[in-house]
Amino acid sequence: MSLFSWEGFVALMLGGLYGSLFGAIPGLTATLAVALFIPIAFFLDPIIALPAIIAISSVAIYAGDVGSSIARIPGTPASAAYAEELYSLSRKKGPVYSLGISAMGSAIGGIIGTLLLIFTATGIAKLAKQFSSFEYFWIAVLGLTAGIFATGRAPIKGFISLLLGILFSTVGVDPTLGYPRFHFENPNLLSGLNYIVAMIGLFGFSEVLEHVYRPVKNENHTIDDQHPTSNAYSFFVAPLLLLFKEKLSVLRSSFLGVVIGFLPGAGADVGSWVATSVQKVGNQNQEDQEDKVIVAGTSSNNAAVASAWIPALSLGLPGDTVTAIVLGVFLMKGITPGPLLFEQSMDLVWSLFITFLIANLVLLPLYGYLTARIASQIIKVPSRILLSIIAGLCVVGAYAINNNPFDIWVMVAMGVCAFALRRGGFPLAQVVLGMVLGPILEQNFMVSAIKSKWSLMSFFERPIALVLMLLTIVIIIVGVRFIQSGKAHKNTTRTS
Amino acid sequence: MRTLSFFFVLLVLITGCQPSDSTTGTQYPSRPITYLVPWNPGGGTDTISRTLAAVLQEELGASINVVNRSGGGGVVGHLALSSARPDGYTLGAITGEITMMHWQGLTPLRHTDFTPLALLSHNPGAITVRADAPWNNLDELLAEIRSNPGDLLASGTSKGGIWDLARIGFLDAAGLPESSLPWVPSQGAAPALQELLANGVHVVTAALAETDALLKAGEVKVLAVMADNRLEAYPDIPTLKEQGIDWAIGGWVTIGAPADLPPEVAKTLTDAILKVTQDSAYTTPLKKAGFNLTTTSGDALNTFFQNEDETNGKLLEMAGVTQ
Repeated sequence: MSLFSWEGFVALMLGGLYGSLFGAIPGLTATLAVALFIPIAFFLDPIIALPAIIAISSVAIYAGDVGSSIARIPGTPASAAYAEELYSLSRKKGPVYSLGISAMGSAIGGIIGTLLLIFTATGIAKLAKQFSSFEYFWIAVLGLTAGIFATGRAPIKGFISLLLGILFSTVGVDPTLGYPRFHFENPNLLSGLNYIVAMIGLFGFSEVLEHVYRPVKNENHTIDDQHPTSNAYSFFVAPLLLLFKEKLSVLRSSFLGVVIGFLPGAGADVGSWVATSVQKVGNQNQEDQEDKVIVAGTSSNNAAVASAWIPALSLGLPGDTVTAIVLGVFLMKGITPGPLLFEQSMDLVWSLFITFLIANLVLLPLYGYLTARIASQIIKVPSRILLSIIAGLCVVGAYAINNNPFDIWVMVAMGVCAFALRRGGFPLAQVVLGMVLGPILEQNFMVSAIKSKWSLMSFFERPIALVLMLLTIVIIIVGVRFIQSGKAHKNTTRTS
Repeated sequence: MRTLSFFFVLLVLITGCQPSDSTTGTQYPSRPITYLVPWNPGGGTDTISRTLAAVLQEELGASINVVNRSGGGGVVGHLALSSARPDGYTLGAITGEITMMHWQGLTPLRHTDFTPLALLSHNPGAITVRADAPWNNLDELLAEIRSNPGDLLASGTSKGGIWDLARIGFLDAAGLPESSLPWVPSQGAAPALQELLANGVHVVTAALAETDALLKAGEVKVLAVMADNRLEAYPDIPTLKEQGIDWAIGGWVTIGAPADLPPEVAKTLTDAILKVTQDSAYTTPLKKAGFNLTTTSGDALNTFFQNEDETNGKLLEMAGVTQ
């Protein structure tokens, strides 16, 4: 059986369809989609099963943006980085255009990521081997710093949201020493607050509360009137022109996605946040940069999907849950990942590479267009009906993550919390970032400190750790300077 | 609108919109089963569980969702299993930690809070170092630890976890104090191995099955295995015992359910599991991945749990971490 048989083709197409449906529903993640596919993968030839998994995860990551564009509910912590921009652009220019940017950006980022995977897999694997807890600690610091400056005009508020997220992440059993914290004798809290559940509440449920509190008067604002161009044009051509104009940003973001994306745990999330933050900081003075922020975030996002496979394929160490499941499939089929894979099973490796390219070149545009068309219909649904559907999806989605009814209450609490945060103008995405990176920061700090017997100078002694620290400082300096120059710019325009 | 209703149908299908089982007489299992893994994806327990689940769901005729509930040195996942409804729709992996954690005062949970169904795998610990490490055998490593006590670091799981005990027992049997090879806690074997590759720690004491991929890739070398006899799959790796250090310990994985599982459900499950453990779809990939498979159930399993509980209690007291 080969990838180019009809079975392979069907597997890819079905995988893409399944991934796009899963990704578009809040609470159903790429990971869950792949996990539910395992029993089927078990009976398939690996040369069919693995491409199907790639198709599922690539398309599902993009489809997570559909939720952002319809209801401001991002599908992944990575897409939370640009959820606000995507939502607002969808309201202004229609979901077909905004999702077009997202799909085309994802496709180009994914292709760049795949090319880098093909040509530099072994090199990046060597780099990945250098990463110990010190480097992970600095990566978490870098991601959090980028999160602050991705806020744009009010970094202090972003910082406060971030700290709130980190505080939420300390609920549950301490990851290093096993001491329970903030559990109030409730066993459900021992496992901590799930960030996907929190994300559904923060973005989705708070949106519902917002509309209950302040109903939108003029619903059914027609978007198509302002944009007479055909849907296909605004999905494919206009975004591609934009991407071509922003080619430097695309390249930079994809590169960031690849070099940060291979890190186990939160690579894709940090990559996406750093890329959008760089984009925002670099264009602080320009108005109307929503589409560019989406370009940066979405291209780094999908570049990281390819890159997460590097440590899995070359070292046998899973980077995230999807690759852990993939390694399980490898073992079941008697394939040993690692350098031997590249010597003994080159046909399998090439079929993986080719699938990444097909998934990005064919599946993303195809299913992206379909979902965008559907989204453009959904967005026309009167907001009263749409919001009740969203409320229902929030409940189902929160429950589906762990099949735990307690999570529904967490989701509602997060929604109320987000409603309060919005009143004060605090950004929400930073709360999610804090919840994702908080445990990574804490755990790697503790492990590093124990390893070095609390000699804190050791955080600055390893070369890669030092480089990451310097990058963090550069982001802080550049970020602060741009905020100041932005303020100065505003002041001069006001006085003149 | 049709699309939307399709979404809903799909949702209902995948989340397993659970029909009430109140109607007695429905054959078990009549709806999807959740299988909790108290450790990270990619580790040994996870691999065994996912492979078992894939074959077992065919045997039972109900789909099994494997869910990782890691954290807190295994407390979180075990607690989730023990507090689930004992109706056979929540199963899970129970690992050796259940005979350790209550001695350390981490949780009141004991093995008596579960209905053990079958011992799936018993994996002896091993002494693993990087392939380019200067020690080519156990004596050279021990000489280094003796001459510079406290310089080398070991990892493999959380503090007071099974591989930490493996380290303490190994050092004790070799006549060395616990502090001569300090422990660095990790979230499981895979992060510890990443640390080993990055030169963050020097020795990993986790099971051979967990280091298998890296061993085959030539990234690490294994100096000794902590078993009574050499393992069938690794005839070239010497045991500690044959090198004069009287020490053997292993991590194990049991499939179990919450306490008070109805006997007829337990019987259905045990029969299905024992059948699966003979199925080559289950044994072949796991043996290839280096797991030491076993099948123990019933009274023998209960005795095994009691013995492990007593032994580990003594070990933890030796380590000075009991409360």
